[in-house]
Amino acid sequence: MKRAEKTAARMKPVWFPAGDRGLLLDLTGYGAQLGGLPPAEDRQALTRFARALSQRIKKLQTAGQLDGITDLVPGLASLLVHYDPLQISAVEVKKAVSIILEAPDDLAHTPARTWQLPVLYGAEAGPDLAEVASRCNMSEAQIIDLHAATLLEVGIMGFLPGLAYMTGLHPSLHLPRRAEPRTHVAGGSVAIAMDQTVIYPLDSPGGWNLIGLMPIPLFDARRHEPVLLKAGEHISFKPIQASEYRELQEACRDGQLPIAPSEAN
Amino acid sequence: MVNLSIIAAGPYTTIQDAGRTGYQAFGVPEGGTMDDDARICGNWLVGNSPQAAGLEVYIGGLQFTVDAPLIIALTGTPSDQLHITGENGVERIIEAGYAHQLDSGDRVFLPPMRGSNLAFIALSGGFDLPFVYGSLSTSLNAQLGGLEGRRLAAGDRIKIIPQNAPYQPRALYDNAHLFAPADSLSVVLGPQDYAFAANEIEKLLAHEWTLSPKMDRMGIRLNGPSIAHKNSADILSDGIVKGAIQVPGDGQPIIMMADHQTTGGYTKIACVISADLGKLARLHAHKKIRLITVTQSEAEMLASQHAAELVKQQRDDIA
Repeated sequence: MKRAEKTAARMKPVWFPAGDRGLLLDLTGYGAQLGGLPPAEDRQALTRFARALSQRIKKLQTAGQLDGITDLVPGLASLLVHYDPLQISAVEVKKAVSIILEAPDDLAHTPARTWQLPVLYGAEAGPDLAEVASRCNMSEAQIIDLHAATLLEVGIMGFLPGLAYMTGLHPSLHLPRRAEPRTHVAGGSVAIAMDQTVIYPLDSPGGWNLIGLMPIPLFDARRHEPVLLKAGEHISFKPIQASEYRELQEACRDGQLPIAPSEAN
Repeated sequence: MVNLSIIAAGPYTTIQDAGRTGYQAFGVPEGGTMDDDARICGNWLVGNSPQAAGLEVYIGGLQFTVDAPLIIALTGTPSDQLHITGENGVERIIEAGYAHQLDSGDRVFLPPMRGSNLAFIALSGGFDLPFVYGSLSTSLNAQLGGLEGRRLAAGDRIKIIPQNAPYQPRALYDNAHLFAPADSLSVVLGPQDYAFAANEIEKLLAHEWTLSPKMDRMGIRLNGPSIAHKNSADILSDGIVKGAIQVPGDGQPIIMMADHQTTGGYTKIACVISADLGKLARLHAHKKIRLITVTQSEAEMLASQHAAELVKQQRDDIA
């Protein structure tokens, strides 16, 4: 949290309007466009700060001290505040959030759980693994070891229900997105690009480098908590074989969850 | 229970209500009606709460029967009509903006529409379907809500729990005016207007834009001059509001609509104001529009005025 606060203070958050129902707090200030991107570690810290800020605003809402905010969406180093202009104005939203920003000590560390997610790497499950290996000058086995062992953090959730953007990918695996996005990526695909890993929750188009398949659905409406991962949680991966992949897939068939995270700390 | 049996669904008919609030941080999209004006007014006509779910119909071609009495209203179009055929074969024509009592065995047909690209059919009572994240709205991308997360199809049967309130012959005060096609939309610049040079923003505001046929509940593409970025179209992924005008690398703007993804990594040059989102949703492909800037506080004022205008349409003393 310390780093996040220092970074946020240095970056000087800036508000931008998003129509009459949204206000975007860009924690990098103009950094993303004009001053260049802040380094990956700072971005991770600012993203944590955005989540903590969102939690603080939620507390005010729960306490009945702030009405008219309809949703809070942490981004990578930003927070989008959705509001109802019939209940509150942008000026009032800014005022309420600025009071919190001036007292960042209150943005305490929230404990997070750690998941070890099973992944069937390579071959048909990860059609880009061979190419990733050659572009990174490593063997496929080295890529798998490095990807599985590096502890990632869920930076933000977004795009589709359950999709987690996991930051902290090992620097030797940083690659751009594919030049030609695929029109069809299978749900469960584990993919890397830039400093991140994502898992596609559903079959969808996609431009990331596919390296494996994860058998546990990221979203299943039948589960008590339909969305598997939460922003802030830590993730590592466990390479599995095709037989284990099929067993786990089978075990999830009726909405069960055959894996559990470690306790929050 | 009232059974609604779909004979023909048309190309894109879904169940939609006011959508989902509070779950976008999990990636669950807002969804909800494309045209909130039509939903609010339609639900008033049939005696529902403004948030209630109804049928959102693109193009038309929807045909269904009911096996018990129900109040119905068509909204979101200045000029189209419902064709209702009773069990005795007699046809009634019901204009948009009027409530009407359906009898058991009535067949309802919405022919291809002329006045709007999509409309809302309000039905008194509530759909007997499970709420997902507090809403009945269908999200095709997320495959949730509505009827199995999909569009309606011939052969579908939907149950409606009727309401007990008696039928009132309600009508909107000036339906034709409220849903008249727009030729301009107001926008608030930002959140990433700083990513564009002043002459590129001028381009956005000075030119007439054509609505591309590439439109759906996620977004509407605009065809016109290419808008160039100062540096790059990519930003760190951030949250998105309905109406956000995203400019990807090819310079052709896309307006994010009801089923927009919760976050995205492209610059957003401006956002269409909430009061004009229904107008935009109703426009047909190939229609031309201009964009006019207002400030955020002017847009908030326009939102209040718009809400008041909708209330003025709902007058019990004129039916």
